[in-house]
Amino acid sequence: MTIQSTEPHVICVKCQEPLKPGKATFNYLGNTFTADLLKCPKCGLVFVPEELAKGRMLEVEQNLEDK
Amino acid sequence: MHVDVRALIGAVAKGDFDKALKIFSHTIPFPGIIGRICDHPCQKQCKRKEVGDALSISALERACLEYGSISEESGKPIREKTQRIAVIGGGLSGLTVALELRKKGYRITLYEAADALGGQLRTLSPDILPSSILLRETDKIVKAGISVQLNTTVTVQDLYRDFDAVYYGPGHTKVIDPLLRRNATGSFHIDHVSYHTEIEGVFAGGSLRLSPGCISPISSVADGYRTATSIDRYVKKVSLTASRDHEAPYATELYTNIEGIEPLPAVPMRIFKDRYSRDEAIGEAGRCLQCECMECVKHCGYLAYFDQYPGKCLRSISKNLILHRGFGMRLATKFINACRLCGLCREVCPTDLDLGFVNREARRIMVDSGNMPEAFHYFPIRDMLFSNSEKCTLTRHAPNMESSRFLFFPGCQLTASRPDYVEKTYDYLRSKLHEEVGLMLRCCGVPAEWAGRQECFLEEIHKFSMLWKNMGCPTVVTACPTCHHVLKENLSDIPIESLWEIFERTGLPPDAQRGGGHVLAIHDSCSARYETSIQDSVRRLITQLGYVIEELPLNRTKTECCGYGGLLYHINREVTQRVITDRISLSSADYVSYCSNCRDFFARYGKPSLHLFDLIFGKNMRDEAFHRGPGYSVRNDNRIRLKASLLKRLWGATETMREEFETTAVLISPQMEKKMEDQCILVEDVQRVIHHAERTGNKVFNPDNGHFMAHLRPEIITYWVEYTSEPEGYRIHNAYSHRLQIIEDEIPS
Repeated sequence: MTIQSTEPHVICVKCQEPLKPGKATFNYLGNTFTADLLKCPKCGLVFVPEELAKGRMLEVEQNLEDK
Repeated sequence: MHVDVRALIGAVAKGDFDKALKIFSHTIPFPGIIGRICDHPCQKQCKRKEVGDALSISALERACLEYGSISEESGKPIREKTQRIAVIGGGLSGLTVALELRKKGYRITLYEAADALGGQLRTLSPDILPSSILLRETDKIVKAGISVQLNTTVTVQDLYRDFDAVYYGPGHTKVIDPLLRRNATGSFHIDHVSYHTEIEGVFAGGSLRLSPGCISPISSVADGYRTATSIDRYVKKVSLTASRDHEAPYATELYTNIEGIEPLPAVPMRIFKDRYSRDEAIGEAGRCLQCECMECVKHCGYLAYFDQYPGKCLRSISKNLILHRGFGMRLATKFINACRLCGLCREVCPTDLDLGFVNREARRIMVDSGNMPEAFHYFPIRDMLFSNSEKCTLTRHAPNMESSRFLFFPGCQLTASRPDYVEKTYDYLRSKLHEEVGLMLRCCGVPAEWAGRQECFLEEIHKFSMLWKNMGCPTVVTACPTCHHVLKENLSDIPIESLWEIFERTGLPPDAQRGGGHVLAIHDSCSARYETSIQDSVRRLITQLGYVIEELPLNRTKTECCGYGGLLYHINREVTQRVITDRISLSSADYVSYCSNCRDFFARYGKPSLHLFDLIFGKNMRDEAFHRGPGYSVRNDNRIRLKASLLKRLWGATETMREEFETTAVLISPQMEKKMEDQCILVEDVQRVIHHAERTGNKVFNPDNGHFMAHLRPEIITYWVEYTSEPEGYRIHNAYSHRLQIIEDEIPS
């Protein structure tokens, strides 16, 4: 599964580091998978833009809900 | 023979004679013969005869032969068997037995006393059955590999020891086979299900079963078909009679509503005297009602949305429930969860099928087996738990009273929507019932029942029961029809009375505004479907208040849910929109309802609607009718404020239970408020996210617009908030949520 973001750069307030695409683990209804997500290279804080939450992520949610 | 005549006629109506002939030939072994001479007993049963003439089914079958063609199929390859079957008699029944058993691979020998096959068919006029057609059809026997012995007279005695089974079908005959003849009259017993005779392995059927002189070609074919099944079972040594109920003709249970259908006579045969022209056949087939019930689908927007025959729905639900995880898709999940569970389908179904009951059970099974996504009903369950939390609940005797004869239970939605009416009603009840009225603020638990969370529901019901007992078992006075229904169904030992009946008994407040003959269309709540006395009380009160009642087409026991029932709104907005649009379009008059949710739901979708409370306590009916009702966050606030207000005003008590995050001041524009409302994101959720982000510093910053973005997953939903800090509080620029959980690295908090 690919969950990608094309969001403009954002900065982790705590670490003052720009977020970069990195592997993130997702879990829903007993299914675990990894996908790329913007995250802080230092502390791991992630960012999910709205387009992603209401787009590809919603599709994945609905797909898993029917399984 | 159970030809799919509805599909056949449907194909003719579309001018697809090839398809129609294929359907006919699929069931009828000699379509060229039967299509010309069928005695069509089915026509007498045709539903069309109740509105015009019965369909000319036989003539339409004939038209299939004239105008349709199918390739001479070689059929399925035959898997040869070793068993040998003898067939005595080359009439229609014998030919059918022989052909059907040959298809199953048996080795068949057919004995015919005459010099050609056909039996009585050969006596028919060539105008009815041309000999070329008869020859072509009987030729199928030889082509199928059946051994035909013409000019051969045999007895059962001659054959039955040498063959695995024998079929005896000599047609109308005065000379019954000596082995079968049991008495002087020549009659003998044939089992009416299997057509097995008293002689082991010998079967009999066809015209000999009919009265002398009586001819029924279709009965002969049916006998042959059924005997072929019996012989196959006999050879395989399985029961000759088990599960054969639907082989013989039987009356259909299918209900077809013919109301409003124009009566039409049969299309006459004008071009040819004995058959239809192509266009005439299409015209005649066009009269077919294409019988189907679909009464529930016609009445329910949800079933119409999925547009499936109820039987098919049941099969999909069943498949959903038995499917093992990982072995396919649960395609009925959306269907099961989009039902309003209102029971209208049962009321309009000729066989009382209650799909609502089925769906509710299905939800329970899904929850119990762990196959119901928790997020589906997360929001309404959370709403219920909030209503039943310390912040909102209250159970007390009236001020300065130590017991209660009555207990006013307004329900969780009225308290959220119109706390002012709860206060006014409680004051009114105390004044009318000598202060012997306690008060209970909480939710009856129905959201848990609708969500299929039975355990949780029973827990809420149990809590209610305990609190009621602690109050000294008073009569519960309900304002909400759903609470009334839930208590009646689940706590039958609790005496309950509807508030409306009490209003009627004790009299309305004297300062209630008069309606002045204004017309209101009454909407019965679906949970009051069977509460005739409440329905009557409400109508009398509305009339007393000076309004004229207009009845909606679906009312009382046949009322339709507003769209909130079964938690539909939280599952499927498209279906919600559809059903509510249907419901609010039934009358141009303002609606009046006696359920707070129904009223608010209608108003939310733009229908001017009043609650009976508005008529009793309201001041300006236009304003009340257009009042849209509060959003989810305000509803929660109302519940908290109501408790605080009552405690302070009546019992002189104060109670504050504010959590730390609630001190986070937020600024939300009306547009953002609407967006959050549509997504079921509460102000509380936004406060929690910002409170957490500001406390921990776990937030990201977008230098392009200066906004902070933070997230939090308090329970099973992750909320994201985009905000800036302003002197008066945090300005909310965006809020959204998702269900997927992101497993994050350990972030120090």
